[in-house]
Amino acid sequence: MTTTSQLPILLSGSGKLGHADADDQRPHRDHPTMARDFVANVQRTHWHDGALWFVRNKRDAQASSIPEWEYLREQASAIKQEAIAKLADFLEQFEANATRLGAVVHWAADAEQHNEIVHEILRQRGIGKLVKSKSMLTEECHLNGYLERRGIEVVDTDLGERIVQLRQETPSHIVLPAIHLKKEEVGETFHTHLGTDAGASDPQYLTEAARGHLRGKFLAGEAGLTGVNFAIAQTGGIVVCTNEGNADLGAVLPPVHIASMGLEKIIPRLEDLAVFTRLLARSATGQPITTYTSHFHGPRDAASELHIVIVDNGRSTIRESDTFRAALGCIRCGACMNTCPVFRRSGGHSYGATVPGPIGSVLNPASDDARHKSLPYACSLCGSCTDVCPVKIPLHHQLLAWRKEFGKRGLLSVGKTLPMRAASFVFRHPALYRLGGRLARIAMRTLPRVFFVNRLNTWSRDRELPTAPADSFSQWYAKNRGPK
Amino acid sequence: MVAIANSRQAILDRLKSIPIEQPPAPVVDPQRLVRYDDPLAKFTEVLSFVGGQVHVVERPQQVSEILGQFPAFRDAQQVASSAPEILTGNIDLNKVADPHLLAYLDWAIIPGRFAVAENGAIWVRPTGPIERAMLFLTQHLVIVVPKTELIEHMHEAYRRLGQDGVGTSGPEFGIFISGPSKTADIEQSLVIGAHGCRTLQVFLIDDSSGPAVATDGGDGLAGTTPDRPVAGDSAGRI
Amino acid sequence: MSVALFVPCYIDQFYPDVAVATLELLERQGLEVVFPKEQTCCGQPMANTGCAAQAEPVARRFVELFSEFDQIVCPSGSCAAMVRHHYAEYFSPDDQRFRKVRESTFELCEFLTDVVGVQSLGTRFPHRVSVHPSCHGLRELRLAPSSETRFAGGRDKLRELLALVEGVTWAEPQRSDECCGFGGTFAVNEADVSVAMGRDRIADHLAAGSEVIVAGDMSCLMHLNGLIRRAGQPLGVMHIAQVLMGRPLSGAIRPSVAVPGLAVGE
Repeated sequence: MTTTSQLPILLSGSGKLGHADADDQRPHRDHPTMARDFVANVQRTHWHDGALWFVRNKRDAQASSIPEWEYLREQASAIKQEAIAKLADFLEQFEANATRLGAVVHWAADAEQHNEIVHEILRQRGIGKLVKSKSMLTEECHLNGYLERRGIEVVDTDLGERIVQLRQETPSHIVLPAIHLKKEEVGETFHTHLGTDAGASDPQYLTEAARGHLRGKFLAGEAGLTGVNFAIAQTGGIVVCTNEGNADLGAVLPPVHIASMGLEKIIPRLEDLAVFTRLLARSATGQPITTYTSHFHGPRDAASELHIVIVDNGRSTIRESDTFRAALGCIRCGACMNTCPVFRRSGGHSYGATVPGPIGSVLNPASDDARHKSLPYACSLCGSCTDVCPVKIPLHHQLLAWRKEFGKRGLLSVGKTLPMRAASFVFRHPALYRLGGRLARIAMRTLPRVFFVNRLNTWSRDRELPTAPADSFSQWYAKNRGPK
Repeated sequence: MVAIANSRQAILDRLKSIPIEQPPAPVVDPQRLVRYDDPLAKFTEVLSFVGGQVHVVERPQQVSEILGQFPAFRDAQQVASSAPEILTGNIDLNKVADPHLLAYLDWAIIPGRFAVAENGAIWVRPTGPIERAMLFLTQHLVIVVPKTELIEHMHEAYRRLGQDGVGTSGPEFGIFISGPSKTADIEQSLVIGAHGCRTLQVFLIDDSSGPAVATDGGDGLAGTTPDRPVAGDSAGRI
Repeated sequence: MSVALFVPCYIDQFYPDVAVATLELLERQGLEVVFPKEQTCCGQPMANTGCAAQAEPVARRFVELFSEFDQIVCPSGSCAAMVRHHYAEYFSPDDQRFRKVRESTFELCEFLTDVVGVQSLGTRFPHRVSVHPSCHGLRELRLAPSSETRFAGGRDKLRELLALVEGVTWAEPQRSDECCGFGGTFAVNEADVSVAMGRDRIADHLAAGSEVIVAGDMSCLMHLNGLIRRAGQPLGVMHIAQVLMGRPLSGAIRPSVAVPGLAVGE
């Protein structure tokens, strides 16, 4: 990595992280290019925008029902900052308590190790069928492909995840994995894979079909893998929040429960959950709380196993940066995606990363700056993400900070730096600024329109340029309020 | 696997190599939390909003009377109960050795410890893996809670869990349940009955001997961890 | 007390009447306002692109130029926020001149409501207006509570001022503070998304029955007006200073018409 960072930002320390296998070797296209395809379909863009705006409105209704909402956000932020600061202590405390309760705790430095650990647990027990509930961490590690290549059947059981799995796609949103799909498309997928009626697209009917299909998978599962929403240092317990009940079925039926967690999922105390359970679902989907908030303390009985895999995969690197540390407080509610006007109009897949949207655009460059350098610019800096974030991550300021970091690392294209070098020079020379402005306005007023409205001018492809006045304000001022 | 064997120490060492000064988060100030004039009304409103049904009854016998009005209950083939004093099922949970055997369960009834007004959640602590599996395999779920065990919000809820020794007394599973299972993964259309129960009936049983609503003294929360500063006036207005 | 007028570069060059209206508004309040002639730009385009090395000398220049004034007023939330919230990285924290400039730089509306305490304007604008709360004014300067946090309460400074103008009636878009999609260089880096955002924003204001979109930042309006004019839509755009001065509705689109003494032709 080319880095000339002078800040105590050590984000270049770990090399390219995150991708354990060859899943992600598709040619990479930047955000504006991917977004162009999405936004070209105006109707569909409006539909996608409306679906997410609906969720944002539900979030607003729930947030406004809690008079102390802003106070809770401050509390959540303070708890996360405390947890991240003393992360090693809390992890050790968690490990000791979880072990005392009978769980087995594993540590994975990166995605490859996480996948190896999970595979080894399954291999040693001769397990060939894994039922999985939603875990963005396993998406980040590309676990499914890793296990499938080693002969293990992996079934995603969250409805949205199952839909994208059957379509051989990736989730486009961390909470609403199939938000990019229309019900007719889901109907076609289910017709092909589950044998539902051709042309059927009623969500009730399709969900019922998935319920029947996945019941069979749950009953046949030999191990269940879940994510972790919160890991409690004080007790050694883990908390998983779902609406469908799939995590619980996967954890209660097979004898082996594997829980994968990023190391930032730690919270210090049991009572801290009060703050987070009040914020999480309200922020995520506009529900007062998820249907199921399950607290696992140890395996369910002597005949069962609970394995907890703690994964770093670049997180400790982010912790070392004063600028980006707060992003580790993310509780993966997805509220920043629902509110982001760019996400709503470009779709999650346009970000080319497991975690899309504002928080993804902060986290992804930390693991591969060159690959993800367009993401911090996929943002109008409107700040709505920062205002909805339940843990008060200053997302839009962090996106701005990434742009500066790219500048320091020499990652900006000449197309970005050259105009800014020129502008900076002009702005340091007021006489040149005034003359340049004057000439530009004369040109705009006298030259034929084609000089300004053409394919090379990205602005005027869809927008008129402002009408150039003969006099600038400074000229007007000199004439009308001149030196006294 | 040699690399993995070293990962624990490597991760901890790296985290410890960068010490970060950060005071503990202040304890939540109970004075700043919402109070409900009528917690029962709030609980009923919220649980209905998330698709559950609330019944307030005076006598335990009324539970089976009310359930008897549901055709799905009358037609049920398999009913399991871990609240036999309220309703007896036709499956003896003690004789179920494997949770898979509950795959065709129609109805299940279980006691809840307490109910939370702000979000319609009920804390349920199944006694073992069979009861636990029952919660998610059953088509229809019934939870019975004493009406006295209605609290206002999650801060009070976790204070109670702390008092109950959750996580400190040994392995266990506990869960907040708020409504029937649901999904909106297809075009944001809400569908009730995803993988878990299709309906949730909650009975609040009015035991006339106790107070109507369990409430806390104002200092209940602040007293739990005296080593942390209490967020009071200094927390600043929002 | 000396009040300096800080005119963003694109307003200076393309929307002189916005600056004239700002100047006149302040003078009407009995303030003596000067326009430091050597000013150019606050450095935001460079900073937002990531070119800190190019932004820094521009920021330093700005502080040097404006530090002699008691108050600095700017008809742009975005540029005022740049000085207040994003200049710190270019200066030592104990740099007295920087601190003075940071603390005395105001966006026009907050200056009028918080510092001057304007009670009446004596102007008239008999039109149905819709407000576009530009994001930086909204969420960096908190000129009004954002829709994400509105339930926590707070003043809405743009509306307070507009309510002082006789004849103003309101049109309310469904999404009160959705970003217009300008975003500085975002408008060209992500042109497709930017244009889609702008078109949606315009459609919302049109559906609300607005005659004119009013905002505290001319940059948002430049983008929206570019789209409106290309599509030939019946909707005006005006900077709030122009509305507060009771300029005629066409003033925003044809800056030449409104201002006596400002020679503009086409």
